[in-house]
Amino acid sequence: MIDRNMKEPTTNPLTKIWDLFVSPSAFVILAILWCLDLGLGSILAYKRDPQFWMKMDSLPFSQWLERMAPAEWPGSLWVYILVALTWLMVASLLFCTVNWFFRRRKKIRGMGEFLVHLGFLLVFTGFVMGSGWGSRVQNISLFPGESTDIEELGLTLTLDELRVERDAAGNELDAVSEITLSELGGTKVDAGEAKLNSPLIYGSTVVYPNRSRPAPRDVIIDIEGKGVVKISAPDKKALEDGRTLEIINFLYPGQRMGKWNGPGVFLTLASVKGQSLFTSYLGFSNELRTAKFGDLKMTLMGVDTADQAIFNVHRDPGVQLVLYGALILTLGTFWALLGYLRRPSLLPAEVIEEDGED
Amino acid sequence: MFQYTLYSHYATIALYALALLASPLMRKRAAIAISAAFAGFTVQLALLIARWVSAGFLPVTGLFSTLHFLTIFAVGITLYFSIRYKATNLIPATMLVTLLALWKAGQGDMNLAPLTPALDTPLFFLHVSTSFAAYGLFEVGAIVALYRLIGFPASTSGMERRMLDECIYLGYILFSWCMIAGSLWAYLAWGSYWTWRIKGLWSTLLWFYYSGLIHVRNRPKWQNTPLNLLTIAGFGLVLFTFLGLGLLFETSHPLK
Repeated sequence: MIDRNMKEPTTNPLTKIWDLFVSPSAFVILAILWCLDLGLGSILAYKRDPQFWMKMDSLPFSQWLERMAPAEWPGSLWVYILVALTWLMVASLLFCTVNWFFRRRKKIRGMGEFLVHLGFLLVFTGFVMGSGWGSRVQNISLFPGESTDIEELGLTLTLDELRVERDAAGNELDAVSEITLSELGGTKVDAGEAKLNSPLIYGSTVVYPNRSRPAPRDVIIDIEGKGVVKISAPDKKALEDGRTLEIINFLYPGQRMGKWNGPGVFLTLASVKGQSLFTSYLGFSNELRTAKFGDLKMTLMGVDTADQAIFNVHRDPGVQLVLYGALILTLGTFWALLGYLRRPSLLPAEVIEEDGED
Repeated sequence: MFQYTLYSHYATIALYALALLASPLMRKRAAIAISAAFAGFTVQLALLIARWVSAGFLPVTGLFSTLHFLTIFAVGITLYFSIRYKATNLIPATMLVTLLALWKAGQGDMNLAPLTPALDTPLFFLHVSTSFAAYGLFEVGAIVALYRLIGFPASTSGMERRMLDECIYLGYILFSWCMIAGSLWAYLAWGSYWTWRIKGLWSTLLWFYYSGLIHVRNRPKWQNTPLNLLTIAGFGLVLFTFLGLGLLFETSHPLK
């Protein structure tokens, strides 16, 4: 039994500060403040705007903090406080771990707890790296056979094949994509299948299919006095006078956008120089079937749809560190569990030192 | 399967109600309470296995299935403590909470829903089983803490402190595995191990809360009332994270 009264009082202020940092009580108080901030902040943010989270997830965290959080002020105040408290908690955790390592490294029984702390620190470091230097490119739509350049990541994504698996009622179960990743305009770097719960992972880059949807591939338009033309997305259709027609959006059956109801297409007529001249919506109801684009009167004759895959591509330079951290954390919990189960009985609370072994 | 589910559900409620009613006479009729609780637990377990076999996957989505799953762990842990630590006094409190949970479960859909494609992964099994096992431990821990707070003995062998510690420590380890499995699953399903969604945030909140609790559970200054109150408040957070968010908010873990 340790007699706590036998400890010599600390006079060195640095030691006092150090003891404060490594005190579990300091960590607990920070953890409680962190919980209060996150709990209240997240509920208020949800009540204010349920789409708040979608915006946060569209960018790596530090980019969101820099670009979008100021616009959300004061609704983003809790996030700034959360960041400050998180850094303080991690500092406390780091000091506790260092303290444990130097003071109690000979006790192997506490190694599990040490690994848990180390794992968490690695996860946090990886998160910071991903937040700061990661990239997210979302909602990339591709028809089979199409490619797109992702300038931000220096990659070209090609959808080689798409198989949409459906249940008996026709509901989509999964969209299995065969995809190829290449350097911009160059060498193929990876290829394979991407589907639900099984994305294509190339180093720190993940290509995962968000979903698939039927999208207009060919729109057939009757231009009064000029005949019938077919516009194939995403290509532009050149008219005889050099102007071009392009599909810019599509409304699905039942979908609404402002005063327009789906199904239908938004078409843009552009000049020879590519300047947008007129944009209008053509639908299948009688009043929306025909529209004027300047001197051209167009009537929607039909739309052929094809399945289109939608991808999100994320690059996270810290993800490997996070995965290793999670592995170490898991090992630590197993080690700690084994040690715990082998304990003959609990030590009475009185014998635990304040800078103890947690 | 629906009829079997319905009968098993009401049989479980009847058996747990019997365990609760027999418990005021615990000294004389402890065997009745324990036997009824054990029988109810067996019926619940058989129902889970039958639905698992019938569905082809662990059926723990929706209000009915998840509340049954949670109570299986809570009752199982209570029975274990009753046998190992002579903590039969825990039975009435656990039965009361379980009956409330099963009453709420009865408001959910008892039919087996088809497996959502996103859930068709071993990580789902890992994530939910560790999560509900942890919730069960946190629930029993809160009951032990409540007994300690009001000065009512939970165990005739004086092992309340040990039971409380086991609930917090083992619950925390299981919840850590739940978080790791969930994050890995999110990485594979959404390309990111971390998403700013309310369910994930509150789960992290719960994890950090119990991280704090686990650091002070053996500290002299935090013993007795503070530890008991923190443990009870922890289960309050569990309830809100699991039921409150699932029923009141649009989340990735809906219960409506």
